[in-house]
Amino acid sequence: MTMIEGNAWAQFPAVAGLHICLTLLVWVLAERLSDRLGRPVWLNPVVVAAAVIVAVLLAAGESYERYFDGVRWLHALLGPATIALALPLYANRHQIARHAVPIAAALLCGVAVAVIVAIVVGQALGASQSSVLALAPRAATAPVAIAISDQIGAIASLAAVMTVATGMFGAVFAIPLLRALHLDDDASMGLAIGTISHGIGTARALQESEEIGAFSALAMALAAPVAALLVPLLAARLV
Amino acid sequence: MLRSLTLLLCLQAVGEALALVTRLPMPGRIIGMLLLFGLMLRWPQIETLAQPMGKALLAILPLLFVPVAAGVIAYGEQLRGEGLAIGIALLASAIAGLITTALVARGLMLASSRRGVSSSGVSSK
Repeated sequence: MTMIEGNAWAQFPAVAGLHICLTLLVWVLAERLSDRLGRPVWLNPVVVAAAVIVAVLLAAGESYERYFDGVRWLHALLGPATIALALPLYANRHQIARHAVPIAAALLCGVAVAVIVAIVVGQALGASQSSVLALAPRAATAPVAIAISDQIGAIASLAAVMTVATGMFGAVFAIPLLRALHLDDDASMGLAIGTISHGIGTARALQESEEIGAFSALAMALAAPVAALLVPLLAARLV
Repeated sequence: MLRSLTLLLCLQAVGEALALVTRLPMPGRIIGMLLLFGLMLRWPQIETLAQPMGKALLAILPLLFVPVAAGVIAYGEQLRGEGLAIGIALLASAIAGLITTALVARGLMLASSRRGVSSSGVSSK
C-alpha cells in the first residue's frame, strides 16, 4: 500500500456518494463484527464505525467538513427518524396511561438529577463551558440529544458521543448497581435503565427479561419529551 | 413508503415552524414527534400511514448518528484535556440518575399498589 501524502486528498474534488459509501460500508462491517461476537456491550457499532471513519479521514487527510458535506442527506434522515420515535411511544400508550403518575414522576426526577449532577460535577472539576453543555443533553436517546444540543448551543458531536458512552455504561453497570441497592423490581429497574441509558441499555434489559425490557423501552420513549423540556430549562439556569 | 415519508417530513417542518414561532424551549423535532403522537391518539389509522417509513428509519437509527459521532475528530484536543473531568461527570450523573429514577418509581408504585390493595380488599398472599 502506498502512503497518501499529507493533504493530497483535498486537491481532488469531492466524489459524489463516496463518503456515504464509506459510512455505509463501515457500518455494515461494524454491525457484522458485533453480531459475530454476540453483540457485546463494549463493542458498540456506533463507536466502532465512528472510530474507523475518523481513522480513515485522518489517514486520507480529508477534513471533517468535507466528510459531513458528503453525508448530509444521511444526516438529514435523522429528522424524520426522530419524528418516528412517536411510534414506540404510541405502542406503549396503554401502559403509560396505567402507571402515568409513577412513570412521569420517576422520569422527571431521574432526568433532572442526571442533568444537574452532570453540570455541577463537570463545572466543579473545571470542564470548559462547551464540555459542560455537551454533558447536559445525554438524558435522552442520541437523536433527541442531538436535537437538544442544537437547541441549547452545545456541540452535537460531543453530546452524541457522550450519550452513547452513557448508554454503554448503563448497559454494563445498571443491573448490578440496582440489584446491589435492592431496587430490583421489574418496573423500577426498567424505568431507570430506559431513562438513563436509552437504546443501548434497553437492548441489554431485554436480554435480562421481557418485563424489564418493556419498562425500559417505555422509559426511553418517554424520556425524549421529558429531556427536551427539562434540559434547555436547566441548562439556561445552571451553565 | 412515500406517503409515510411525506407525513414524517411535514410533521418535522410543522414542529420546527412551531418552535420558531412560539419560542418554546423544546427542539422542533420533538414537537413534531409529540404532534404525531397526538394525531395517532386522535386518529388511530394514522399509525398505519406513519409505519412503513417510520419503522424503516427506526431500524437504522444508530447508523444515522454515526456522521455526527465521527465529528469528535474535531474535538480531540478538548477531549484529551478534559477527558477525566468529563468522564467523572458522566459517571456521577448516570449513577445518580439511575438511582433516583428507580427510587421514585419504586416508592410511587408501591404506594399506588398498596392503595389498590386496601381499596379492593384483596391481600397479596
